[in-house]
Amino acid sequence: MTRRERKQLVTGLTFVSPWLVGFLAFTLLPVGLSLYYSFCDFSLIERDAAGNVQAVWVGTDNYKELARDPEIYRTLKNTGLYALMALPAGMLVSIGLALMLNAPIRGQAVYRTIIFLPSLVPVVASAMVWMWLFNARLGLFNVILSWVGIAGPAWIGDKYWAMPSLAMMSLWGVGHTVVIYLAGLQDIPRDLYEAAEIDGAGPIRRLFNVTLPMLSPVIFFNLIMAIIGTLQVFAVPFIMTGGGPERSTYMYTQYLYESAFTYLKMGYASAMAWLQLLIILAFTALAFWTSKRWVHYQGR
Amino acid sequence: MKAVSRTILVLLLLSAAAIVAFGPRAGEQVPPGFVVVDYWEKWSGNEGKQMQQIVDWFNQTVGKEKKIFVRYLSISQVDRKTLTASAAGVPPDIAGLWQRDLVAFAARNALLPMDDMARAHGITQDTYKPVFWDMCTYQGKLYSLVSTPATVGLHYNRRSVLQLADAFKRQGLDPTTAPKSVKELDRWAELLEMRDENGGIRRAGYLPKEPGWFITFTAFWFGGRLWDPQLGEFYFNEPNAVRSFEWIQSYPLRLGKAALTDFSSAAGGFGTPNSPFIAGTCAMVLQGPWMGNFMFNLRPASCEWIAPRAVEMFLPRAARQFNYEWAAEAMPSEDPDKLPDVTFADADILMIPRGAAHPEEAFEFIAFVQRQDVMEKLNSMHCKPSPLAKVSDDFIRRHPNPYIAVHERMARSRNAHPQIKSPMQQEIGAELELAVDQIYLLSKTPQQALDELQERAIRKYSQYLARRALRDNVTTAAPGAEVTR
Amino acid sequence: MGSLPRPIDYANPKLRPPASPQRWLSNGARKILGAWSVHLGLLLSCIGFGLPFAWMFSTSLKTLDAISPTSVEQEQTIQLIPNPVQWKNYADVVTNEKLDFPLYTRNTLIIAVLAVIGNTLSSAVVAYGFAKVRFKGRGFLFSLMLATMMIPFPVVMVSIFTLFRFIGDYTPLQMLGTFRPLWLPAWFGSAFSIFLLRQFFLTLPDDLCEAARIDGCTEAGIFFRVMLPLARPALAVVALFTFMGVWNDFLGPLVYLQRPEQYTLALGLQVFQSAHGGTQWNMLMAASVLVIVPVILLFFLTQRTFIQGIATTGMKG
Repeated sequence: MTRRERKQLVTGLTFVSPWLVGFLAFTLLPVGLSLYYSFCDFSLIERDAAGNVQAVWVGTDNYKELARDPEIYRTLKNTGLYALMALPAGMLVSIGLALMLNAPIRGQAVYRTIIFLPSLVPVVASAMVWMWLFNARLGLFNVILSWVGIAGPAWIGDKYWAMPSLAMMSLWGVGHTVVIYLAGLQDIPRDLYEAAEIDGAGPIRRLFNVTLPMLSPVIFFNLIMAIIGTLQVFAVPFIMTGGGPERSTYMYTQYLYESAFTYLKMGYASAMAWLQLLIILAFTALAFWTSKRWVHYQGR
Repeated sequence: MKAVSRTILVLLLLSAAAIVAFGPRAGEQVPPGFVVVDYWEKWSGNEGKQMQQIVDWFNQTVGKEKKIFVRYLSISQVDRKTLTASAAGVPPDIAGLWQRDLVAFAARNALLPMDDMARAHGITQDTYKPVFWDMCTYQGKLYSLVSTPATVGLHYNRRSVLQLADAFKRQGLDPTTAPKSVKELDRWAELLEMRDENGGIRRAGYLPKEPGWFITFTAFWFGGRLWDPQLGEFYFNEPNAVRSFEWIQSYPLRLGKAALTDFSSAAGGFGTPNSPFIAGTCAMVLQGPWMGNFMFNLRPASCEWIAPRAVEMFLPRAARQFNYEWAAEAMPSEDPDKLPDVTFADADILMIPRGAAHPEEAFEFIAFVQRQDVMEKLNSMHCKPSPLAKVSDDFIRRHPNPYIAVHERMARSRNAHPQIKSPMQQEIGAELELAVDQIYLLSKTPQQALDELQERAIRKYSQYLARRALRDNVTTAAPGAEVTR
Repeated sequence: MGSLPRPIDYANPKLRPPASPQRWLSNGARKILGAWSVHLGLLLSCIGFGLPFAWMFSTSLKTLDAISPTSVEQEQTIQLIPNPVQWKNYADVVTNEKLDFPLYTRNTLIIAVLAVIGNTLSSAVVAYGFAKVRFKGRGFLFSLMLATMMIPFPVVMVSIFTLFRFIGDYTPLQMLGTFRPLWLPAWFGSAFSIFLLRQFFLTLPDDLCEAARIDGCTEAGIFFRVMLPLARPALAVVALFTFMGVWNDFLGPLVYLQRPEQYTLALGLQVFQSAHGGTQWNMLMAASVLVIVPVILLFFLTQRTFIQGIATTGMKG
């Protein structure tokens, strides 16, 4: 390394040092520690005779328990079901809204604002509002249905309706994603549309042959973020249903949280976390692998 | 437009800064040089205020003497919070939890044993009614002491019953005394029920899930046991337990799931005037002695049928109960001759987590609460019986609950059962609640649900024992200091 | 006289414009129909998105009787517009003894202020390093940073909690039982903010730095005196996002805050949810409104900055 390079290295590292230290302390170390704990029996509350907190090595026992635990399968199934319902619906809705919000009509500012606002609301507040909306007797949905003579379901109080209700509620917060799609749409060069129109393509053709391909990098980005997000879903179901009724909305992350902080099985919770990480990585890798087929980068 | 936004933004920032600088701070004035004892309790509202009175009493007498200041904090989900705070290394000095939480902490050696401190203050096993001493110990050591106990019994709307007196007499039932057996209870429930045109429930006769706090112990009334600490075995699916839950399930089966869900989603919560028993939309419930307070505070008319409260105290004790539209008696069991006075005995307990900053000072307050005069004042305010063996006549005579004699009787009963105390009671409790939900929501038959529950419980317990063995082999235990399996 | 455009020779098939498909509406009509269907779609969507807000606000003004029956006899009717209107609910929420609203607001603000200052400053410093200082391994570290954005929180949740516990036990620095777990990590930068700021710094011309370097300025000097002042809009975005993040954060406070007197608004709101079942919906909705209003207000005041920030991350993702 030349002297200049070394000087640059020192300078660069100095500037980057806050993040580097943070990375070591809050990412690398905890990740490593969590891997270690996943092989231990660890309960922060338990003290041995000397009064210390101790982690006892148990090898792959936690992982073996993972394979045997019916709750793991149940929560994975629930989380998967939620992802299957919420993800495609979310993408369709947000792309659809973005397309409509991109149209050259009046009042777009108002429309965009109203659609964006719900995504700003704190998770707790939106969970509370929707709990009240879903109330079987007094909630708005069932009240409106009753005006049309339909007896509405118990929504989050019914074990078959609870999951679809949660998926429906997740659509309320697509504002963030819509904005990203909008920006992506506005980046598509006009002449592409004009060329297509000259070639005689109708609006549907234009959508599939121009808009979506040009938008595909953005779609890809959002897909990755959505995969990571829905597979980790916790706060909303935790507050709205607590995992019920009859554990029909008991999500993986809630089980993790409870294993750690309610049942105080922190070793087991760490093993659960690593399983979750692997699953997320697998799906992300899948998305990357298939992306070569359908993601079209403009001249990169 | 931009200028307006700018100014509003600046105003917001200024108000935020003002709140940060001059806003409310936690904590009250502590006299200098005093030791501060943090006491986390579950009660808010009136019950919280009443405990605060006891805390104030302590602070002004024994506290002042010994330079201790107890700081009372009302915490929701106090059990979870105390667990997490203990794990975080910053637990409160005194945790006011429920009886069911004792084992979670004690089994993990996360509580300070109180035997020595108690003996020093003259507190022994004989000080208490047997069931209340039993529930405070785990594997022979004392880990907590009771603050307010409770026994549960059948509370029914006497006014509604008497309104239907003729119908009752025609059915051969006596409307002037409580039902004696479960079968009689069922017939009462059917008679008291009122439906509207659509099949919705206008008034329910009896609802196992209103409030449903004790539904997991239903087996006790049918002779079931649920858990044997000596043998370390569960009995969730023995015939007594299955029968008890078949009885529970008979209610949603008869009333219909839709009607029930409809009813409960509109029902007011406990502690509000719209709560079903208080509002009169449910005629009978399994509840505790605090109903005396709640009925009087939320629906005074129900406690002043003949004379206003002030005058009632002068009525002879036997006559007092006629002033009330509601009545309480022991919850009937399956076989009243074999199993009289069955009840679930619960208690709010005070414990000292390990890692607490000031354990000795904390125990000073706990010992204060155990004094007969303090205990009786607290429980009179909270409208509960006393856990002590010795009970003054005055306590019973002046008690706000006219049926306190019933609760006292149940507390001394042979068939008073405390909470089941398996080491992983939290997980077992969650599984038990799941099974009850499945039964009540008609997803499974009681036999199915309880069989699965038994299987899961056994699995969890054996896993716990295996882990325990592993830990005990690794950690070098000083003799007598470690909690054995 | 200019030349006239050459007439299209319709006789020559090669020069004929391609046959357009049969259309049963004229172009103009189609455009209007299109516009109206978009309007309809958006209108319906807005009703769907806005209805919860309206319902929340309406409930927050209702009396308890309007929500659940007080006796067997009372008729059950649902009103959309509350009558009577009970503004008192808001006062009750703020003075409620169970939910110490002013205290939680103060707590949230303290954490927010500390986090915003810390995050903005440190992210700017790091971003400058990634953008303007050419050093070996820069690309690798940057990719590493991006990768950390994909690590799910549960993986580190328990071990960070344990780390904080150990730090508290063995050093004089208490973490659990204080606010620190929620704002201290922000002082080490966040990947999101660093990314945003780096993109911004990349757009600033290098000649500025060169000129300052020639003038004898140190790197730190360049950063503080030249780059930072120019970065004000980007810094505003970062500050805004950090604030919103803290205000809305639920999981962090849930896991790391131990003392009830330190709860934030998000956590405090959940406290309101009665454990006994049967919540006082009107109070809860009023409290929710109070928690939501500041962020919405903030959004309206800083609209453009906001949208820009979101768009930038999505674009280059």
